[in-house]
Amino acid sequence: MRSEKEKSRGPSLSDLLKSWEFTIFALLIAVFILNLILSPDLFRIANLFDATLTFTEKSILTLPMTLLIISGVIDISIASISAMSGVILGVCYKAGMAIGYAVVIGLAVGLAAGILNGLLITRLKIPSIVVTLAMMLFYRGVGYVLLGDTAVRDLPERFGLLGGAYSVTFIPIQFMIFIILAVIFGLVLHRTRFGRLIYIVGNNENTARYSGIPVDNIRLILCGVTGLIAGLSGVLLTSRIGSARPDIALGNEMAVITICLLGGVYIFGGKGSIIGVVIAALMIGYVRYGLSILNVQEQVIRIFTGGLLIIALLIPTIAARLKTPARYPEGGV
Amino acid sequence: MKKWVALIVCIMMLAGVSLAFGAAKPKEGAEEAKGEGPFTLAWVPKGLGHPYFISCYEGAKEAAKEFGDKIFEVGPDDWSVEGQITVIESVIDQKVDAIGIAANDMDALAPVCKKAMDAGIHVVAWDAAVNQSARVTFVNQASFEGIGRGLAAAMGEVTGYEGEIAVLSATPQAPNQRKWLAWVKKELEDPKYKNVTLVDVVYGDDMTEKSYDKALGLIKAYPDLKGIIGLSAVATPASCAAVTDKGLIGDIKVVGFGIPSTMKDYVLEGTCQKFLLWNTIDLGYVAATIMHQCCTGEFTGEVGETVKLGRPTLGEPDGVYEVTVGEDGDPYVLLGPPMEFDKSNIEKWAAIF
Amino acid sequence: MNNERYRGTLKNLIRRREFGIFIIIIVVMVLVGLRNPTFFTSDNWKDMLMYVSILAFISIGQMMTIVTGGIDLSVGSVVALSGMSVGIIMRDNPALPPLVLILLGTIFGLGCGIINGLLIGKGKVHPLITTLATMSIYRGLVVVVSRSRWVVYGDITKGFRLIARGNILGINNLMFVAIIIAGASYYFLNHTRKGREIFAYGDHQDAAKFVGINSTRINILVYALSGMLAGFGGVLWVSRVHTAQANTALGYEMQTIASCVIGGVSIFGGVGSVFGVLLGTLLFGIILNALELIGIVDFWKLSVQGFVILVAVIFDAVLSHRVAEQMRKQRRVFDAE
Repeated sequence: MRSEKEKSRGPSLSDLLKSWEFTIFALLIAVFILNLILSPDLFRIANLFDATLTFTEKSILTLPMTLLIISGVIDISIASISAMSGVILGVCYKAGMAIGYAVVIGLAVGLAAGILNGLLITRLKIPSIVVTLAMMLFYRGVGYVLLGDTAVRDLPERFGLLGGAYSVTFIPIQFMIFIILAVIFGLVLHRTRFGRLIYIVGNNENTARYSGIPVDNIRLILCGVTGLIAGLSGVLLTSRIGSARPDIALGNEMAVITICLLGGVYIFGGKGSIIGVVIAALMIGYVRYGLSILNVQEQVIRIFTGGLLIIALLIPTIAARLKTPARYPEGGV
Repeated sequence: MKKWVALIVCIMMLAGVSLAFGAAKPKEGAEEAKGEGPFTLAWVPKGLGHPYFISCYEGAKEAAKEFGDKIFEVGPDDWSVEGQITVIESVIDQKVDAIGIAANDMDALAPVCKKAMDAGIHVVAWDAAVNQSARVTFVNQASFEGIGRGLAAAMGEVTGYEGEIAVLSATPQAPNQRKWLAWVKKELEDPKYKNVTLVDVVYGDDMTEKSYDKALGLIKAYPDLKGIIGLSAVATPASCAAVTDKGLIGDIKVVGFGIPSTMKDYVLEGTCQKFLLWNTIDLGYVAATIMHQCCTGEFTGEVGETVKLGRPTLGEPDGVYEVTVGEDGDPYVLLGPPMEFDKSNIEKWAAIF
Repeated sequence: MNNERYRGTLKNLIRRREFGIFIIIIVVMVLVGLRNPTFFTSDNWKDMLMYVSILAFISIGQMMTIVTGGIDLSVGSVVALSGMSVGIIMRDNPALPPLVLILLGTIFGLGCGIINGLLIGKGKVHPLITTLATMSIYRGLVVVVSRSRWVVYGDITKGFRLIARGNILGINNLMFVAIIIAGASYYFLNHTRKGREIFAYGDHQDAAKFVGINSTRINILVYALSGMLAGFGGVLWVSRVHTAQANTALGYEMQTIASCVIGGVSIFGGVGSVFGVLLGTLLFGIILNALELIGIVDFWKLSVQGFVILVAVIFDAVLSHRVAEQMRKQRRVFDAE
């Protein structure tokens, strides 16, 4: 029986998780090769990095979500928090605030929303799936109430640089942010005590509680962080589009969850790694990019991501079924 | 440790392969207009699905076929600004020669269209313009003033110049919607409309179902409503459907834009007395022709320049269009006067589009 | 023994709950009526009930999946897919009788539901994930099937229009259908063996297995039913609004879940009643209608929906938390290996 410490140190050769990551990585390579065959002149280095702009905003969200799902909580309101943050940023700017302060407010709003979610989940003991379902509608609604059918258009140009510009030659700033965050989250999850606690909480909540681990506070913190990053995602998206509007980030929550699940995160908590998720994020990102330059429509692309998700989840459950009789856990997440 | 090394090696392999592929094929064409076809044209409507844009594309395809150009249609299936921006970016990556866009938002689409222009792609706007700095020219289906005043006048006429009326528009940010609405309101300021009150303007986002719900909402909220102006080819049939479902044919009059094939039943039943449109096939045809001529270098969008078409259109029987200056000082190409449809000609045109 | 005790409490809970919803409905109706008397017109009620009827029977399907401890997020997409498919068939074959179209739509929905059921029952993929994925897949198929061309007003035949607007025995078709389905579901869930098995399974899956309830078959059954009802609803939907687009019924699954949650269906499974769902749907519909009439701008709709679900859920949690805890404790003891 491997100790919790060994488990959370990230995959090692004898771990089932590792074979999952290799599968995902192999799939990523396959995706690249396929794209290179189908659209040879378009899959160049500069374009590849350009392409990240289309999926970075979603990808940064997968990082805190990984930690959150491992701890046994799910948050499907993240896209709505992104939109709300973007809208509030725009509203503040329109009201005369300097763009810098507006950004801070946007982030703070995300953080607050996350904490609110966390409180509802941990203090009122409502299943996270239901709470965040309700909040998903609620936060999205806030965005619409504030801006309705309009948009805040004349955001300053230097703000647009945040989401759209490049740092080192052709590497977009956004992508750098993603890499940095990935490293941070990866270190926290796999190399700190806090990270180990997250695994324990997700694996067996009751045992964790009895061991004196502050389960609720840990989850609360993770919810808050998720909200904060959701706010960041909204800020980046708003910056890239160039206007603040309430209808951005529609459907992002599903994409994020799909990526996490594909990345090997177990929906019931307790298992998962940042590396797998990062690879999955890149894979899904490039699958969508590849399909979009072949002019496949957005809604049709979702067939592929949905299909990938199902295939990805059928494999291990079939394998597991061969070993032990499968069971359902106690209902909702 | 070993795993990390393996990972880095893999990534470098990937990079190497991509570079190799990238270097093998020479960069596609110069940044300037090649001057020679066949060109690749990207047709970007506000969204996909509605017969209005489908018929515009028919016209565009006709023009492309004439020149031997390749044309394809892409658009956001949710008709959103974000979706359209993503589509344009993807099209830029594909290095097309020209983009024909009906913009969902004049300013929000401007940066990405500018990016396209900077990359050597000619951007021609049609139906709904993008900011002047981000396009070569704009093919306007009818003058904003002509449409706005025309619709208000039609409404006034069928309601006997009195009563409460409302407007069902598409999206509030669409440039053509705003201009038309402004001219409708301007026309209503004229003293002969003193008994006509505009009670509300609602937005159906050019979504058939939402427009229908909004129209129903108008009917419920204003029991004395006498007329609805549908500001788009989606809004008008939606209003007619709502009026029909409520059994108020004749009590509430509907005028607006519509495509003959979708409006036929409503005109014959009397729900809509008359509606306006332009020849959408012509619109697509003219826009695509201009796109081609931008690519060959014949057209640059200057005021006074002319475009010679391959065939005459309803608006210009001799098939020659000129770039003129519009009401807001921006140069554009005017398709022609709007067409009026009513019981007398609906059957004929419904068979065409 | 404990089981019986809390089962009784649960039943009482439901009864109290349904009564509570009923009271809330009355209160809301009075408040809205005071604010805008148009609320009480038969015209308004007819419209609202047409909307609520479709929501009601699709929510009943949703309820069955939630009762087994799962969820069906794909209903919105199934409504769209079946609606669009049938719309296109109607457009190309205007002579087809409406009943045939309804049958086709139902079969399409059934097919989608069976796929869900197989993935969940046989493939043992968690319902949340499965239906999340199929939601995207079916929604994408709407575009593929329609080749990016909506079904619009000019395409709808008179006969098709009547599906939603005709009357049987003086009541609007949609309402009539909803009542029949509700009655049939009630009978099925409460007075047939299979129906009781569904509840038993949702209550405690392992115990159910020991009693010989086949989990695979139960899952296929409930998701097939949910899909079938959604497919049926899709045809009626398109008839009601005279159009089918790529984003028809987008987000609709949330409304069905809201109706269930308000109606007392427990997200943990094992608890729920058809009557509760009907009341929950009605309340939800009334709230939506109220928003329109009070003149609250459209944009509040989303927030209010979310808020309503939240309130219902908090209420649920506060009331039944103890019972759920007991349930969980029971299972823990049982699962100790």
